Amino acid sequence: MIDTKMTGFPDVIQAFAITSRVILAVFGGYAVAAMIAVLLSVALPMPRVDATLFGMLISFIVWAAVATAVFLVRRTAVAWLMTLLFVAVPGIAFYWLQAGGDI
Amino acid sequence: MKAGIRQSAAWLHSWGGLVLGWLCFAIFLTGTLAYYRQEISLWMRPELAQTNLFDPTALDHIADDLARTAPDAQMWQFNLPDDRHRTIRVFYTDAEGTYHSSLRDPGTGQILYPRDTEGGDFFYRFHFELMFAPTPGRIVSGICAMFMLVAIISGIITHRRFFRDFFTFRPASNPQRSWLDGHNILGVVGLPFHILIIYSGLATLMFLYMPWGALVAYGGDRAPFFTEAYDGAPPNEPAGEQAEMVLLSDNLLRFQNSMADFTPGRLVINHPGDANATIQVFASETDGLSVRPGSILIDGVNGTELSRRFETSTVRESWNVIYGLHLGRFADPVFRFVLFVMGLGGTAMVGTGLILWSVKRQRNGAFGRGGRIVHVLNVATLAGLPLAVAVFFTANRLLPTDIAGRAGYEVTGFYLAVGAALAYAMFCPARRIWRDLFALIAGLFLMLPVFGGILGFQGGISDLSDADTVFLWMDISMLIAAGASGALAWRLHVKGNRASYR
Amino acid sequence: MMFLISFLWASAGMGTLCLAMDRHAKQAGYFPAKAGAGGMRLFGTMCLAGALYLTITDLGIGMGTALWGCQVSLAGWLIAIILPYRAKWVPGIVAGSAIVAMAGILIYIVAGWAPQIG
Repeated sequence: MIDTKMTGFPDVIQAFAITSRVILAVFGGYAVAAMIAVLLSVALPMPRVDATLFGMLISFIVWAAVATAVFLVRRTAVAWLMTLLFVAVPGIAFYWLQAGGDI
Repeated sequence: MKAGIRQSAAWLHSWGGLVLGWLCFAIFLTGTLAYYRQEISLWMRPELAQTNLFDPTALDHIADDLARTAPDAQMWQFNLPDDRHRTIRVFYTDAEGTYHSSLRDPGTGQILYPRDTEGGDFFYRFHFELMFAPTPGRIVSGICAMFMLVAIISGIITHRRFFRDFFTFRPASNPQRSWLDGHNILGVVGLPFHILIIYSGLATLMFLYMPWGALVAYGGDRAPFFTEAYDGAPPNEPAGEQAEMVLLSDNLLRFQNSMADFTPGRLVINHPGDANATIQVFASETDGLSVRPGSILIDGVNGTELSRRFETSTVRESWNVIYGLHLGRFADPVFRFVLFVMGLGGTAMVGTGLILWSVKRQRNGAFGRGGRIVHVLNVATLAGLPLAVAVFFTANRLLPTDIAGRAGYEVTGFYLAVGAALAYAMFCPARRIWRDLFALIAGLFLMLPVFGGILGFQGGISDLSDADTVFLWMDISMLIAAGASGALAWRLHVKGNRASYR
Repeated sequence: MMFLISFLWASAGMGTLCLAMDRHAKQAGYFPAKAGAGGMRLFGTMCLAGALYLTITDLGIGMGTALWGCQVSLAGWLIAIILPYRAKWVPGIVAGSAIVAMAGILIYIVAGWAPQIG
């Protein structure tokens, strides 16, 4: 199965690992995509409408990539960390920009 | 690490495909049918077959009519007829903002009263709303579409011999092998279409799925975002005083003369009858890939051109093209048929994937508990949905044209057919089900071209001398569907009614 | 018309690329020469490029590329469904498609020049 380190563990923990990955892929992936869409709408050097549209168009590719990656990494903990990182980094960049920083 | 990734991707592809596969199949099937939305609508309303040719003065008649019957309207919209849609579609919003619509004869402008039916619009809406209310339905289909993107990525990762097995199809091999070959070929060879359709499908509803960027960038008020994204003119206020409008037919001819490359597609009149009335003539979406090719804004009272826009930013043009690629409105009859076949291929891709699940779960021709659930849902979807389409068309022909709520009855027939297939699969042995259902589908699709003749309707194969191309092709398509279903049923019958999927 | 000719080129191209593969060449009944495969792949790719050229000149870049993508997929499915049942037909189909497509283009060119001649 996916969590190769989990093969010795009872089924309920395996099921939990898989369920958490599903939740992570769906909601965590969505959070990453939304964060990047928001960041691009304010950060891209183009008219506001174009930056927003571009952010939206890119977001689905981001979500699909994150959702897939969540299932491909070996350890569930790594998947969680990775997703949190992908949300945090654009988030920090966004807040820094909003606070008046320059690119 | 490589083996681990392939395994994980395979797990993701197959389990995700199981959970969402039945909905994805419905989305693909109804989307494929929606390519012929206008034709199906016309076939289901044969009264509209004999409408006149388009005369621009009909627009003036409609304008007079609306000025009389709906003097407080805020906005009129006239969708002009084209090769596929033969009537003028009129929409207007009244003072409270409620939408009203009517179909008008393209020659005289008079209101048409065809039988009450959803027509091809049923498949179009089901495609992105499924059986739910609009917003939850769009969210569910969005989840399916997002999963399909993931399924494509995971499918590519899992598929080990991408190029070596490109043309490999082994129908004589064991069932699991041949169904897998079929699934692979349908997926891999059609990959450009599948990727484009799924991604562009998400893009068409992206304002719903990903509103956050717009909310943040526009400080919570998205109305200006929509105006800018659609390259709309900033809305003007009504002056409050009445004024006579110029003739719409004159402006239509002027538009045609001044922009030779584009055909006019629709007119939007804001604040009709007011001193600040404007007429916006939009180019038709059938000219090119973009769904928003451009428009001319004209003063409604004196007819002077206020502005025109036929170009836009790269990002907006890209979005318009992506949107247009999904809708396929640019396609001429041949290209449309090509898209239809590609859509059938995608539908079959999902279908073969679902069957693969059933095949894998069989032990000596019998299912375990989980395998039984998969089998029953497979029957309800893979056979039940085509049956539902046939029943939908049959109901359209059999129901009297003047009973109230007949549109609802047709839709009920659709859902009852799926339910019947589900019930049949639950309570009858697996051996007979596929054969029986496909025989039934074949029977219905065979009878439909004949019904036309019995019920006295001209225009299809029952009356070749007066055949209208749309009705002729619908009849031919149904006969082909009957043939394919019948051949499948016969093959299943000959194979001895075994439950195995050979 | 252009659609038919470009589809014939797409079929010829996909068929050639298919036959350039060992397992399918064996299916079609001839033993593949290693040296021939590269040439066949080149010819197949050129057929596909020709189909793309035709659709683009007919419909423009956007619609032309979209139609071409669909034609290539359809041609691929056609070849894939013929192979397990009538593999021996495939070389004939490829050759026939290429010949008819070339004839079609010649006729089109001549017909285009006819008004100037007459």
